[in-house]
Amino acid sequence: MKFLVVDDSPTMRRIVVNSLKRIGYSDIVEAGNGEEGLEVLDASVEFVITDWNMPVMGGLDMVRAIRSSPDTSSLPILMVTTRSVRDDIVQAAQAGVNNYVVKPFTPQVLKEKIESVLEKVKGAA
Amino acid sequence: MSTDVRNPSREEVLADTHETLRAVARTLESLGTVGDLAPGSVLEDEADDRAEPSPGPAPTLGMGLQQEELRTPLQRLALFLAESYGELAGILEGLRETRGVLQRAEVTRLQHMNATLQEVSSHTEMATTDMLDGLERSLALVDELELISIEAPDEGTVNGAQSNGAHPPATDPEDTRDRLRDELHQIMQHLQFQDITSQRIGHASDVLADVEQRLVLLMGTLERYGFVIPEGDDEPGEATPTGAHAETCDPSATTADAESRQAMADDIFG
Repeated sequence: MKFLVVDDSPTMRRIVVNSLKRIGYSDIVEAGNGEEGLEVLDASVEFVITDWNMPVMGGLDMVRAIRSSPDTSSLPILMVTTRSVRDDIVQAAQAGVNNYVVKPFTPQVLKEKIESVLEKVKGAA
Repeated sequence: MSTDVRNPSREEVLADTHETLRAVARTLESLGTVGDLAPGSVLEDEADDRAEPSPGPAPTLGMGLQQEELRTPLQRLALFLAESYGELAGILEGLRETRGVLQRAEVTRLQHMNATLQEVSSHTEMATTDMLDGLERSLALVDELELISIEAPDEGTVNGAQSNGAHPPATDPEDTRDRLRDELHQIMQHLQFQDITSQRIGHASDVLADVEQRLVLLMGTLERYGFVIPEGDDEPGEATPTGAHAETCDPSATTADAESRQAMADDIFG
């Protein structure tokens, strides 16, 4: 399974990539903001993990763009962010995020959320 | 003195004060002229005023016409001075109000920012301590692996020895390697503090830039009123645009209570 990891912090991208590799996913592409994420997003990407607060284009705008395109509207998206106010989480859900991980996270939480999203997507299909 | 409950603008207050002071100057000028006049003579504009009833006390016995003429401008001068006092009081009140707003808004924000930076410092120290602890445990595990390799250079021999019961190893090398791997991964996870603290510092930087801009505005206002602002030794730097990190920073980013915050997200996403 190919992942797209979008985060403006290189440190966080490395941590997310490292966590993904640890739980068994090694096919990963990276982007530094939402706009870059949309540029590298192609048909081979099967799962998106994105931060919220980023320059140029934030994670929420990127999620909306992905959901508005027929080619990517059903792509699983997991948001990994520091934002943990209830209204923010609800806003992310309304934008089309499939699940939500609050930073700082553990690889175990990341694994659980990825599996949960994949199960739901599989169930919906 | 203005009794209008509306707060006048700085320009209005300044214009009023200027007008009042000009009136004071005119009155003082007329006083000087009256003093030079011969008894019985009056200024042209004062002649009109005399037709109206004088608001001041009646001249006492023995007081000549010149003193009576002099008294009326003096009373007007007192009135203008009172008005000037009122205008100046208005300016002072405006300055007090400005100071109050600055104190209420900026001091609170700066205190909050100070608390944020202290929290960042505390979390940085905690994360550093956790990483050092992890590194120490990792080093101990490396020592353990080294000891195992000395005791049984060939791992196959260790397992063979264990099965024979000759030299049972203190620790399973595979288990030690797994523990070492876990420790190193945990150290990497602790590095998440960098992203979180950078967001908090970015927000604090935005607050400082905003306060700086407000102070520049205040200095400009004070200078317009004639206050001299002492210059520092260094040239002031260019103000950073407010909210430079607004898009990339979460002001409430924290490393604390991750579990409870994750539980709230789980509750919303089911």
